[in-house]
Amino acid sequence: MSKNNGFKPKIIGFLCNWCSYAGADLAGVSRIQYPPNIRIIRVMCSGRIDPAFILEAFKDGADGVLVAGCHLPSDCHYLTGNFKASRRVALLRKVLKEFGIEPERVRLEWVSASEGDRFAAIVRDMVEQIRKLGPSPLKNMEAKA
Amino acid sequence: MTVISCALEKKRKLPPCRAACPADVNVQGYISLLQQGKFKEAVELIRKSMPFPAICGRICVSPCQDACSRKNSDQPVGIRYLKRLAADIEREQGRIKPDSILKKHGEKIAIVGAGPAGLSAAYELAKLGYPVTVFERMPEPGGMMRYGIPDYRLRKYVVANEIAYIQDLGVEIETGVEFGKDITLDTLRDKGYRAVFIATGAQLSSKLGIPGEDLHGVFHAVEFLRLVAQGKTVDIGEKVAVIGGGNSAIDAARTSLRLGAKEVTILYRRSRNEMPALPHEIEAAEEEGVKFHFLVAPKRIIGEGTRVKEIECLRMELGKPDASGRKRPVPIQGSEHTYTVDTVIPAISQVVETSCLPTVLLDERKETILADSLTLETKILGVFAGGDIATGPASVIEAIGAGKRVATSIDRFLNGQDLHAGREEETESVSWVKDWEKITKKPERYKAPQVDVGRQSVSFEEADRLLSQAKELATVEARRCLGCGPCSECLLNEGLCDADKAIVDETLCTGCNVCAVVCPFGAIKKNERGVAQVDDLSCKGCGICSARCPEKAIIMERFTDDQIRTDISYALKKEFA
Repeated sequence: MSKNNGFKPKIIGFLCNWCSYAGADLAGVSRIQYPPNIRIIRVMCSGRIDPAFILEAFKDGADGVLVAGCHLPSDCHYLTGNFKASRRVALLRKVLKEFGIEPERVRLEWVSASEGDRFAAIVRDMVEQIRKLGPSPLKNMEAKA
Repeated sequence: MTVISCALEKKRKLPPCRAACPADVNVQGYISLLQQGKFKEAVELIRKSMPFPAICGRICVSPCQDACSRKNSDQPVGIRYLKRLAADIEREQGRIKPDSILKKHGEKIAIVGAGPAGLSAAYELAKLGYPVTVFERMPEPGGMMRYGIPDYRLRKYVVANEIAYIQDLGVEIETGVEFGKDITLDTLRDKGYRAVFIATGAQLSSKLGIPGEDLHGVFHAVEFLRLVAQGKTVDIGEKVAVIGGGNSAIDAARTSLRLGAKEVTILYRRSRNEMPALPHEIEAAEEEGVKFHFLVAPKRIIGEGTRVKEIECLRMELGKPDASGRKRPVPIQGSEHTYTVDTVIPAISQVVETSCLPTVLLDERKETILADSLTLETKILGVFAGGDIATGPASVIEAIGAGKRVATSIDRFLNGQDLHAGREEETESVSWVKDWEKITKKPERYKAPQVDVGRQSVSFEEADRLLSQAKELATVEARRCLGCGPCSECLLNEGLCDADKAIVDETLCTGCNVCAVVCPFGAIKKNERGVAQVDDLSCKGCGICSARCPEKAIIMERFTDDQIRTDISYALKKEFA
């Protein structure tokens, strides 16, 4: 436990432009407090997120990645982008396991434009979860090497 | 790139909603702003095409909604409610003040009639930098929006607020000035006005043309509604019969109930299906207890002394369709019957008051002003006419469209340009949806709740809660919009939207066709060279193809892979708090 003291998780959040980014924006406008451990990357659609981006984020030192899009089944601005994201993330989790990264570090959530409080709750919860998991194993490897 | 290629297209491709709007309001544009919760921006966008978002949000006949493609799957998007909500939120939070406009032109323009046509022409001309004066006969501006539509549908302060916006642009409004009496075309010219727009509307009710119409207790709808709007007391008694099936008839009936009538009956000579009134208005009237008698036409009004006592009617049956496409009612012989009434309100149509107009302007039948349907110029040079006065009674949105056309004409006229050139733009209504089976049904129509919260009765917290609830529902409702139109409809050129575009690197494309399969809009097809080609009009920039392309041959214009990678590493380098 002591090694986690002072650990500040770095989380990359890929948010889709139409729902989740607007939801995060609402959280901000409504002044809902959530931990500052997340850095947001806006993409047009959650279906835009290439699994390579997520791996890239871990490689660059992220401790967790949040992928957020429009609610299933039919909220996606591009009709089916959210389904594509959900399939990709499911597959990626398996790959991550092979790499020795806990699949729990990647989280897929649906946040609508009106769910600012939900977005904040997800971030809070995720930061807590990553804190329990500790720093990304990729970082440890670097440190050992 | 897209914007230019669309402009070069001969036919301008528009989503069905915008193509249907007589005032060319960018419906898809403001709905997409509402999807993102940008209420203020949405109102500003509506104001680019017309000055009355709150009024149209309440009383527009909304041809956009009738044209909405979503009806092929479930129900149209509730465009009118959304517009109303956006406008109300803007008003509640303090109306945006327009930027002051440089008066760069010296030519004075006179507009006769401060109704929807006159005011929207004044609005457009003021935006172009002309000094505009609007003359109005009644004590307050607004025309039928103020004196024709009852208060329960359109509150006076809503009208006043939107007119104040036009006045903020520098438009002068002179009330209590009657055309033909206080001013004429000659006196206006002598005062130095270089162009005149006559938009006095159709202010008289059509007469039934049956015996007994002059009796005490017969109020024609327009006059009746005007009296009520002016706050005068109208004695209508307990039993009221309204004749007609249009919006004025419903307005007169519902107003009668509010004045205390016990029994209000609408007599209409066709059946319910042929009623021209808005369906939700008919339903509201029914809920309030207005009775409907269909296939009934008045034959004569019977009086007792000078006062109305009964109305004698004939039953009708529907025959062959007439010129308007509706079935013509044919009277059934010997079917006379009477209703006992205190008041009869004929609301069958409206006509133009031609007595104050120069006869040279009138058409052959002396019913309306003869004006060119495209440029709205009349037989006298520099005099234009539009709205109800040229078309006969129509809707507010059509009048706004006429006002906008006149503004363009007057601007061209004063600059010595051709009034006709390039105006007849061919438009085509488009939708990317080819297969309705694929569209997920979202039938629930969220009726945007009203934020006209009575200020005295509601606490601030409650008003706040209502507002945020309404915003949430509105966002959900706006998201039902399919975004039929091409991407030129998006607000890229307004600086309000930052949609992306897919570009194919033909040297890398192997023609595997994966992109064509994953594209939700069918925007990608293999061309004759066997490589993927993106149709700019259909691409909406989601980037799904780019994420999926095994050769990385599809690059996005804005959110490129490299851009996202840079964003990631930049985000992680920054010190986290």
